[in-house]
Parts: sequence; structure tokens; C-alpha cells
Amino acid sequence: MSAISNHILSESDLIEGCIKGDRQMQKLLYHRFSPKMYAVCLRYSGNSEDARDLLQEGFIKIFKNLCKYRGDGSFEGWIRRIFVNTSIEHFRKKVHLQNVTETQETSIEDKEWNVLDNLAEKDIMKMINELSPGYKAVFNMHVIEGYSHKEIADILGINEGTSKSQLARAKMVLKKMVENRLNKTSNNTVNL
Amino acid sequence: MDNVKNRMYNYETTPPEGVWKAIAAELDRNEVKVIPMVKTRNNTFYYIAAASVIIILFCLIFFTNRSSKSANEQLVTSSSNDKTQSDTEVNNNVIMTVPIEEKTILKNNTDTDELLAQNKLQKSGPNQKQNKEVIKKTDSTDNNLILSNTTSRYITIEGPQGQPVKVSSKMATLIDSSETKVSSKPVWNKKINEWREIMKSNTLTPTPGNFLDIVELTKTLKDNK
Repeated sequence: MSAISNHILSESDLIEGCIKGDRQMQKLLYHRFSPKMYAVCLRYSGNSEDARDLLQEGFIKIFKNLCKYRGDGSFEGWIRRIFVNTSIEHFRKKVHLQNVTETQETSIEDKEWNVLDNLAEKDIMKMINELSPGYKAVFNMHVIEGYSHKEIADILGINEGTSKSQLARAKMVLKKMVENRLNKTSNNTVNL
Repeated sequence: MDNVKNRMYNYETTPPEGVWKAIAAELDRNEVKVIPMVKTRNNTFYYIAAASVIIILFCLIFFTNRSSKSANEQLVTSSSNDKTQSDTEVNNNVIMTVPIEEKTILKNNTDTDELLAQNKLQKSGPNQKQNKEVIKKTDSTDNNLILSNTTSRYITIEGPQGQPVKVSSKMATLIDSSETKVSSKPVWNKKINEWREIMKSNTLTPTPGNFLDIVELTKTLKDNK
């Protein structure tokens, strides 16, 4: 089926077809959401092999549990949540969080993040993947997915303070990465 | 910051090829697996039910057999008991009735007033308790022990020399009645006394087959005398 027909089909038709077990509809749903969800998986896993496994596992969960979707929120949000949970579940063992003092969180101002605006998504993704699993999980969940610290604490099985401190540390590391990158580019331009 | 968030949130990357095929294959496998056609049963219930049916049947057969056996035995003994009990008013006998495979001892007694004979020969469970010994002893002058095997219709009489003489229970009743003081039929009493004397002195064990031979022998002996 072509990409055009994929976009013509409404979300509800797609969902209905998938619930009935129509393989063609399931394929359309996969093609519609897989690019975004693969990006999510990459952000959490850090490598393409794990991301591929997560993508497969996530879509199987979606097709099995699609009948549970009641249409309360956005369908994409529901799908994304499944992928985030699958990713977290998959890497829970790798995430060893350390408690740090909450005061560290306020050490970075939001305006300092403007440097990231100048970077391409691919580069930002690369930097995020260089973070340790704990920092990466909390950063992704809070900054990009918009989870509250309470939600993060519940999902990861930590307390809110730990979530906040992990985020602060992640931001600090990222800031250093951006600074180093900027320094490198400035040095390169000077040398030229 | 929000700008970064939105960009990263909507960021898309082309997934590797072959993922959809793997998903489809996995879904196909699950569809085959999922449908359980027959609900698995808990066989324990059926085993218990079968065992209880067998036990109930066994009990039914067992108790039915017992009751029928005891009924038969009652029929056998009742005929002798009827006679015995009818004679009890005039007879001075003591009957010891013991459960099956034991022996009933009849004691001829001239002084006793009663004969208590509840010759219940049931062997089965609760009836076995009812199968009590009824013993009424009185002073005896002449102790001719009549031993009867309650399982059979025959009674073993102890002769004067202590030899066992097997006679039918009816015969034993007749012998007993011959010793009574009051006799309704003197002619019979006389005959019975004669038979009794012969049998006491006889070492032959009578059977239903040779009983008439004994009578014949008696006649011959009489003639010889």
C-alpha cells in the first residue's frame, strides 16, 4: 500500500482495522508511526541494535493491546507511552541512579540551554546518547517526553529527589558537551 | 529549551528494514498460539468422584451380601429355634449361642425352668453385637452336651464316651423333648428314647444319607435281641 493511502486513512479506521487483525492495516499503522517511535527507541537505547528490538517489541505490544485504547488522549501519545515504558523496562537494570543533593539542580539556568538550539537534532541525539543510562532516562522523560518528577520516580522506582538530581547532573554533562563542541568549532574556524 | 524539546519530540528516523516482517511473523505465531480450543480440566475432581462411586458400590454390595446371608441363617435357625422355644416351657435346656464359627452348647438339664435361646447367627457388623450370648445356667444332674455348629444345620452331640455324634438340629430338638417330664405324645417319646439310646451307643456319624440306615440297623438289632 502506498504512502498516500496511509495518510488518507483516518486514525479510527486504522485502529479498527488493527483490532480486527487486518495485517494490511497493521502495516499501515507501523509505517505511520515507526519513524517517530524508532527515534524514541534510539534516544533511550543509544544504539541501533537495541532500538530495533525495542521497536519490534513495542509494536507487538501495541497490536495486542490496541483494544484497550479508549480514545481519551491522543493516539500518538498512547503509542509513545508504550514505547517509553518498553524502553525503560528494557534498560531498568542498566539504570543505576545515584542520589545527589537537590541544590545541584538549580545550578543550570534555562537560558543556558539556548546553545542547543543551534544544534541539529541528530547532534543533540548523539549527545544525549553519550549520557550515562540514568541521566539519559531522566533527561529524556522529563525534558523531551514531559513526565513530571513524580511520574519518573514511580516508573523508575526512585524518589523524586533522585530524579531531580539526576536531571541536574544530566544537564551539567550536556552543557559541558555543548561547550566543548562549540570550542572545537570555534577553534576550527580560527584555524581556517 | 521548548524549541529543543519540540524538535526532539517530533524527531523521526527511518527504521531499519525487516522490522515489519519480524513483527508480522511474531503476530502470526501469537495468533496460532493464543486460541485454546478445549479448556483444561481439573482431573482431580473426576478422580475423587470415581473413587467415591467405587467405594459406595463396594459398600452396597458388601452390606447387601451380609444382610442376605444373615437372613438366610436366620431362616435356618428360626426353624430350630421355633421348636426349641416352643419346648422351652417344658424343657430344661440351656443353649449357648455364640457367633459364627463357634459352637452352641446345649445342656440338657432336668432342673432348669427356662430355655433361652436367641440364636441369632448374623455375622454382619452392627448385628454382630446383637448376636449376644444368652446363657442361663441351672444346676445340672445330667450333662449331655449337645454341640451344634451354627453354620450348618447339624448338631454334634457328645455321646456317653465323649464321642461326637452329628445329628440334625430337628433331631436334637426331638431328643431334648424326649427328656422332658411332661410329654404331649408318649408314643413319640418312646420312639425317640429308643433312637436316643441307639445313637448314644452308636459310633457312626449320621448324615442325611445314612440316617435311615441307622433306623434300619436299630430294627435289626432289636430283632437280634
